[in-house]
Amino acid sequence: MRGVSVIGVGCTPFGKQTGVGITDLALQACREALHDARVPTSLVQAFYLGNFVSEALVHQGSLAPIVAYRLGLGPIPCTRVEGACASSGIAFRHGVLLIASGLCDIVLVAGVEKMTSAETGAVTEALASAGDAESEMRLGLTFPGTFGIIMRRHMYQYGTTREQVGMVSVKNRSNGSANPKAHFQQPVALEEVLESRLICDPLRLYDCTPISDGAAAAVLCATDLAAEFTDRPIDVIGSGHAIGPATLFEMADLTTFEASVAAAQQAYREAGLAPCDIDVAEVHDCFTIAEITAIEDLGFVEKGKGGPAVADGLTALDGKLPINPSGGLLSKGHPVGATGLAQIYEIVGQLRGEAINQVKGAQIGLAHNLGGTGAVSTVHILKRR
Amino acid sequence: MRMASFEAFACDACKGLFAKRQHSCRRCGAPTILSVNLSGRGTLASFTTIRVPPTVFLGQEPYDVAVIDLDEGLRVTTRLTVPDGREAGIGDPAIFEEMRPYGPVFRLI
Repeated sequence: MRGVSVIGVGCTPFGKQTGVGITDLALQACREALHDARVPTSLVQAFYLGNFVSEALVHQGSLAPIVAYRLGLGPIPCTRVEGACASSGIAFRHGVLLIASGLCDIVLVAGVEKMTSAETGAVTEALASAGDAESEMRLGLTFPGTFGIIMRRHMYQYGTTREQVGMVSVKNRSNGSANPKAHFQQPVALEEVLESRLICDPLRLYDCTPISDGAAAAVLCATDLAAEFTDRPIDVIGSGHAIGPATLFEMADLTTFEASVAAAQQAYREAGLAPCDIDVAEVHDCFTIAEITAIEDLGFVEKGKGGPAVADGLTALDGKLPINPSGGLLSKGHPVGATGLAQIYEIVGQLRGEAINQVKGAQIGLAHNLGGTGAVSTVHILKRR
Repeated sequence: MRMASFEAFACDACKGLFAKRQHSCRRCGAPTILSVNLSGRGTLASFTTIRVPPTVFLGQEPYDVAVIDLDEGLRVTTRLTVPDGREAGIGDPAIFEEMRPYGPVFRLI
């Protein structure tokens, strides 16, 4: 298979983008990525757009052709990818495959979501559609509810404390306070997290991501052609994509997402690396507890040791393995269809050495995207030359 | 206390047991799935209280949703009724109470 490199990235500010529609958000990120890559639209041979709930929240389908046409792309294949909150991780993955297979040289991938124009109840309901409608979601279970159940189980099974889980929010909000594209740019104290409003016990408001608008994009190029456009390509050295159960009752262990474990194993195997080789990672912290299960599922720490790892500073900016230096979903916001590529945006910045919270000497980075209640996950490992 | 049997589903070929009705067996692929009656007894694997519901459930909040380990070795996600003055805990026994339009309801015992 041919090598694949990222030669350009773009990302809009995340948050409430009043008056900016979903296509304009996507166009903004795509333009930035193409400009960054110094690639004219005429060279783009395919386009994948990750998006989850545009029909439900802004009554817009057919997003990929609409965005692509307005971007000025030619009569090329353009495909919208839906995998709940992992939509643009999957879009990235498919762009990689198209180049690795030799079918294309240059592919544009993007992700977008417009959420703040809808009522909170409608957003909660739309997001819940990623769960299993025939069993759990008809009960009135929600995404926060699912992670509330997982959090309570993790605390019971491993002795993880409420404080340890809350420290994820404190860490990520601190990281995000330096990120001008983050939805939340104010740090929070642990007491504020622990005293914030209960959403789905034991999960509280500051354990959750905000509802945000945003888009992110990347230009992928065959590694052997990358030098024509940039002297600092970032190589995609591992790509994993796997499914797991979409329901809690079908999970063998309520604290493990099988999709993340399998996607990580695929990516590590392809890269010929182990978890200890990763210098920096962006993981899917849709809720505080999700960062703890993620660092366990990705093999950074043993199952059950995620809480103490956070409390001991392992995952802090100056720790042994900085996790979510961008501020993560908890701070940046979680425009669901854009999240996977916003993680790639941060990792590319880290490996170029130009990130806001730069991890010193970062050579190898990992991005972990999770969709639904564990139904699908992608893991990508990127490396600087 | 009234005791209702809880309906689950079993593969006629490999005897795999499922909490959700199956089109065909996800373990062996066989087409015949039979309805089986379970005791409806189990223990709480975990639970939450939904305080911010989806629009369709507005007005019902707060309500509890639990994952229950049934005695027959099957896990089910269900609404949970907690009697007044009680507090639920992981490992507490629960029993199937009734089927509602939105799904099963178990009661903490």
